[in-house]
Amino acid sequence: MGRAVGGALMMNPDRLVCGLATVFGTRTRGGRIWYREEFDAWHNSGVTAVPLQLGHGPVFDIHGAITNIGAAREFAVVNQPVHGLLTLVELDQGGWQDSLLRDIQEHLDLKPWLPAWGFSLGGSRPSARPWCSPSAQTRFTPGACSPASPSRRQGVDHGHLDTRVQVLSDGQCRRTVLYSLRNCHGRRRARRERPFPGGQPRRHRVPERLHGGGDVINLLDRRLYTFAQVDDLLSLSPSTAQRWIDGYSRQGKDYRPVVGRNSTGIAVATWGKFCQCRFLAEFVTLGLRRCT
Amino acid sequence: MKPVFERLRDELEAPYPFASAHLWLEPQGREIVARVQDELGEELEESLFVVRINDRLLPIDWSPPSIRFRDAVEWSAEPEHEKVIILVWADGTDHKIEINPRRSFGQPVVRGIKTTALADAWRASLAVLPSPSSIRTLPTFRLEIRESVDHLLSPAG
Repeated sequence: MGRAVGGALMMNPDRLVCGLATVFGTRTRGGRIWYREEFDAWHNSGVTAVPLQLGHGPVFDIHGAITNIGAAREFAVVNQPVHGLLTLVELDQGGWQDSLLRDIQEHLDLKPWLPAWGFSLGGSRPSARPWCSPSAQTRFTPGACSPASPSRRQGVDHGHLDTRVQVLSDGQCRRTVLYSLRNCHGRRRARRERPFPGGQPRRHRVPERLHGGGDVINLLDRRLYTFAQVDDLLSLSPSTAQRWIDGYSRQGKDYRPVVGRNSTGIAVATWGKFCQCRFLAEFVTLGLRRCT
Repeated sequence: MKPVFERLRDELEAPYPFASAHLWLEPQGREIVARVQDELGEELEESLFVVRINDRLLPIDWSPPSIRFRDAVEWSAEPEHEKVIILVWADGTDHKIEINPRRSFGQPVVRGIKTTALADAWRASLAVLPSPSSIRTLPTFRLEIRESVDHLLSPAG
């Protein structure tokens, strides 16, 4: 939690996450399009902090609901890699928040439990969030509602879930950039449709290794689990999922995968393949060995 | 099993035939599987996916392993042909532990709480409480914690 020291807000660098709150001019999953002008009006209204949520709502543990998991206090408009609103958020102390930070770190360590996840900036009117406690409501000052946003929503994007992670090297802070995949894709398509003045199309640099997430992708095609994780979740013997999903070679002979058409060489299984492995696992428990 | 997957993939035009709503939720799904199973009979064990029964109304039914899989998944609330599997119940947990790509990033959860967190709580309670039997005094989630821990600590898991 940040604390004021001599008038300046001190943040804990170990709990900071830097990411894109929204991409201007592209439709979010909720159907809303945010523009730079709206942000200016909102920012000039004196907002100092916006509650940070996970999945646009509270999270729950055995002690009850946790409305906000942190706060976003710093904002900046950026033009690269996309034209959007960059924000610096600080996660509060707590088990959920620690778990999130650990997940981010695992993602950066190429142990992807998740190809995509995202925070939400709780910029809606507090009365629209019945679970919000009075003390939490006072942390947010609603901004002026611009003519372009006549709905109850105001402030920052509500539909920017499904993000991607990339490291920015920084000696002291854990900083990551969360790309809104949907928005990146939409903007990329839009740019391709019109000729680029320099002759070469500009491409946003989304890391290849992070392919496979985002709400534009069918749920069944979403990459979720490494092969070892599939083995764990389905109580299979080691490497079984790899053989089923990606095939294998033995004594110079190649065996094609069972649940996939061809070997992809990607060590992360999609949800659809996981479901099919779950189906196959039922037969393995019967002692059937012809699966592979 | 490979030929079955390949044939069904082509017939249903679905990359994941056994995760397809058409196969599991529509009556003709069983008939398609039965036909493929018959055509590939020499390469398959008998009655692998579906079985023929003496029922005039339901001459073909899923085999026991197929039924277990069918009962272990939940479908989305979209129209019939657009349904997808949104949740898989962990094997042997009596619908207590769910694996849902939209919750906790696909990690197994019990009522939204990761089983790993429950297992941590279990271990912590063992360290703090005077005896393992004292865990029974925990007010909530006793059964879920037990099952989560059993699932996590199972030999294959």
